[in-house]
Amino acid sequence: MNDSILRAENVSKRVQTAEKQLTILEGVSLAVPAGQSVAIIGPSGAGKSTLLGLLAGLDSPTDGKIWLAQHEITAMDEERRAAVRAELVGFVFQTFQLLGSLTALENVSLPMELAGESDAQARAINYLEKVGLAARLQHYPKQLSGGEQQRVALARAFACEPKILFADEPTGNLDQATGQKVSDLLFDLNEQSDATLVLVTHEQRLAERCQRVITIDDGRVVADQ
Amino acid sequence: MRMIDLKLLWRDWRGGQLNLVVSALVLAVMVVTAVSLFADRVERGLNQQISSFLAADLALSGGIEISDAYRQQAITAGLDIAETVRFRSMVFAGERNHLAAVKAVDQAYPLRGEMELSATPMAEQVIKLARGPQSGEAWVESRLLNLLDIQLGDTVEVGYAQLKVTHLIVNEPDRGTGFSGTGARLMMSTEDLAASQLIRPGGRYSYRLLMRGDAPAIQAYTDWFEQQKETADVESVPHYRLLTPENAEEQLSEALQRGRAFLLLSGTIGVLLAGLAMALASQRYASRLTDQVALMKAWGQSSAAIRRSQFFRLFIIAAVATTIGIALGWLAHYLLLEVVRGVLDVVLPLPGWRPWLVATITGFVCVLGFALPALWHLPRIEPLRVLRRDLPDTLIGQGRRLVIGIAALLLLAYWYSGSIVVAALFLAALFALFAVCALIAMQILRLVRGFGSWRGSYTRLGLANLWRRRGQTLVQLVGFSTTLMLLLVVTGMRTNLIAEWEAQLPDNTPSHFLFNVATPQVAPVKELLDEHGVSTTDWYPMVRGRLVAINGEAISRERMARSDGLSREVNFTQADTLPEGNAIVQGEWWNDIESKADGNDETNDVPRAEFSIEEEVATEIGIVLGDEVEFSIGGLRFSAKVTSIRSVNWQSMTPNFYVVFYPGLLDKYSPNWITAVRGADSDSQNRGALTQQAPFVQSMVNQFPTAVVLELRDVIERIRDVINRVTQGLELILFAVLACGGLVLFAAIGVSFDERLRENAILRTLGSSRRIIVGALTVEFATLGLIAGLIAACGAEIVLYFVQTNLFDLSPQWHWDLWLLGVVSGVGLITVLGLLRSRPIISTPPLESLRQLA
Repeated sequence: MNDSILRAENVSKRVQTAEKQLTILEGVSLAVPAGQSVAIIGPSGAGKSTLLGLLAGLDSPTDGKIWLAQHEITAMDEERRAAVRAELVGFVFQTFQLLGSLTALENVSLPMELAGESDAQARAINYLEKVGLAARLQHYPKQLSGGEQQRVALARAFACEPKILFADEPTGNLDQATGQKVSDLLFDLNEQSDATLVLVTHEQRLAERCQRVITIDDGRVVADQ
Repeated sequence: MRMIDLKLLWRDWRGGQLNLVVSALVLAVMVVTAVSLFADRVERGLNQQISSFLAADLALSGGIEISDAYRQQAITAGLDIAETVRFRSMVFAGERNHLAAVKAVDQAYPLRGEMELSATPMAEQVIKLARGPQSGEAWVESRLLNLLDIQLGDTVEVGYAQLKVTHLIVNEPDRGTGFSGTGARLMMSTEDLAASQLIRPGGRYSYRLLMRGDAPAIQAYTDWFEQQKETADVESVPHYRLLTPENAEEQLSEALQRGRAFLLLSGTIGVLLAGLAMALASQRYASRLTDQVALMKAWGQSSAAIRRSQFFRLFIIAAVATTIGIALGWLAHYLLLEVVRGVLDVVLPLPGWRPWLVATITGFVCVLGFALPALWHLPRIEPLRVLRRDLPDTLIGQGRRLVIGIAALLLLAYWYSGSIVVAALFLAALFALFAVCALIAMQILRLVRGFGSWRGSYTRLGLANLWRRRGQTLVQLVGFSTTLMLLLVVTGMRTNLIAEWEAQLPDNTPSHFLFNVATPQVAPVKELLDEHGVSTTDWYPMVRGRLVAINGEAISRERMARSDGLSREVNFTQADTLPEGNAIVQGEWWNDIESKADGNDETNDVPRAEFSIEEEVATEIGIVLGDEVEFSIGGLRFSAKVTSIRSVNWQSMTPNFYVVFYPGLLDKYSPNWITAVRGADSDSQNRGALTQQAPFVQSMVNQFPTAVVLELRDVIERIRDVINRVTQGLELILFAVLACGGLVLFAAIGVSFDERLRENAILRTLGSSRRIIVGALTVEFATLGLIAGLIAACGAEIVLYFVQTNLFDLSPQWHWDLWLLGVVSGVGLITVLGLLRSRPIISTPPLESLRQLA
């Protein structure tokens, strides 16, 4: 277990609504070794995205502990968790989350620029070339198709060379053919980078490309293969 | 401070997200800079004049000749002295004449400073001289050359003296107050005064004894003067004032501060609207930044780093916009100066530090008060938002943002006006005005909403939009209608008021006033006027004097200050019959006398020591029937009893007086006479540059050169000119304020921009034609403009009604031209600006709109 890059122990998440307390996750425990690709699957509302948010340190659980590369992020405040994320984590989102006022190149280089890296632009160009968008560097998101936008998002995530990449429904907004191309690219880049991949999806085919599939339903882990 | 922050800022700017915030800030700073630079330079110019105002260290000033005791005391105290006398007089050259502001100076003048003169018409070379004109010489202001059509070296007549114009006056050390309401200046030597025969008893003169010396001598003289005031046994003390550069400056600076506060408070309306636009635009900017901040936090940026970045970016925005605003304001203040140049007669020095500080602080306070509150929540955005966009924003509530905005405005208004009470009252009045506008607008919107239900589809759609977004509609309406209203008021004052006043003057309103006519001249002048078939009102003798005591008790300064009319030397008259336009409200007019006020003292009766007083000053100063009042005329004192109180029709434009004495009482004070001439001015005469003088005027000025003829038209033209320039200056400021109103419109449309984009995309998708979309938007903005125009015109009409009835005593009139102007400009401006801002909504293809908003 100690060589796990990501570990969750008995994690629960409950929220208080006007009427009652809702349990979204209950007693989730898991450990992910470095370099492994993991798919979290389950029906809508099962708690997949909530679990992803907790594992990535974007949110805090109600109970339980989470370690990201030996850092117990559940014992940290948001500022310290942010520092851990800056060091280790990358993201790919279902809605791409590109900034509309930035070109493809600027979108990719932004996180590196924020981290104060001097070769941000060169690396951004390199990764955009890797995803086949060398000719689209100066295009704005609205000038790109959905598939192209997600490829920019992949370039942005991998250019930062994260230790662990969290992907939330990365093909959820794309048609089947485009989704296929994007997922090919995702796994190729992941293989080249040796990053750990935690992927939330409801697509069986995408999940099957991962080394491990964790199924959750109604806030609990029901299968781990 | 990192490069990345600058990069982010540049990218936001490039993406058009900052246009409105920056434009609003630039406009606000521009308005404030222009106004405060203008006010500061004028103030400095006037103050600088005052510092050398006296051309001496100390001056004794009075309406009567300086008595020898005061002169001797100065010499005894070891002070150098010089003397001047100022008055208005006709100056002639051939067939031309002009009522000039004359200053006669002796050989010792000036004691401090130098005369700046020129011997060439264009004043290419300035000569500095530490003396006044020699006997036989006249130095004149350059405009007198044009007015009299003469050149340097020509001779002019001043009274009976002939003087050669040798120099032009560029500047003089005791130039005056800076407001050139009077005629062109002429300086002559006191040695020529006797020959001119201009100094006559009862005339209006300002005498000055200038003094120069070391501080102890000055102090000794000041102490001596104060002593004279206390002992009060020297009759002439009430007629003299002691002027030091300090007390002269004090009086003026108070008036100037009020002027500056007024201008800056007008600018505050611009700041308020710009602030509103900034707040709305910042809100939209903040919503655009939300995703960016959530992403940055997900990538590991701390809240503190984001806050720092935010402050840095706002600082840069404030600094850049303020710099641009200041630069534009610097240019704009020249426009203001150009507009009022004819009214202000002052050399303008460079501005001090204050306007720059005022402008800079305005820029930064606007950012802190209007932009920052809308962006404050950003660093607190949860990183989880990248996964869950439905998470609520922790925006600062609208109520709190409003309070912060008002606090910022109050702070600025306080700083501009120097008084928290004035600032609070001003803002309260402004917000009350907004509230009234909003209430009326709301009622009209309700009406309009019903109207839309039976009209064509795009009318219905447009009107429905107005009602549905009534919050934004009201914000736009209030901003626009208030500014438009102020503009209409100012335009109305400029274009209509004087004309209306003129039109309502009775037909028998005098065309000319004749004054400075000596008693022996009255009969020949009457004869001359008869020859020309010119009729006049009654003739009134005038002497200048002041009230000194009531019922044996000296009038305190406080009591005196209550009355504008009697706090200074005024003209007294005597009359046997009640003057035209006067009515007795208390007591009785003296009915038991024969005519004796025609200058011919035919009876030997001792005149009764009685007088009649005008009702308003009587109330102000607290005089009632039967009071025994002591007067001082030319240093001589006498008492008289109040036997009647009169109302006076000040609008009649005939000679009117606060105090009228029993006939004969003033005879021994050598009065000069005044009358008003009727019907000497025919409408067919050409006005303006080719002024054709009434025939009697030429005869008058030739035969009686010391008399003064004043044409009413000239006075009205002068007033019109001053009002024109002042209102034009205000209009310039208000146009900038209107531009701020335009930004509010832009910003308010921006708030609903995405919603409009989505709605129109859906309408287009469902088959609506472009014509319907454009039609609906046109109806929406045109209706908005119509309502704004109507409210503005209505408000302006109400303000003008009060100005007409209360200030000008006119019967109220409708101003249809202002209603038309209000409606046309409201509809035109708002429709054009609204459609301009909505262009992307119309032109973006529906699919692209939906994709942008996805």
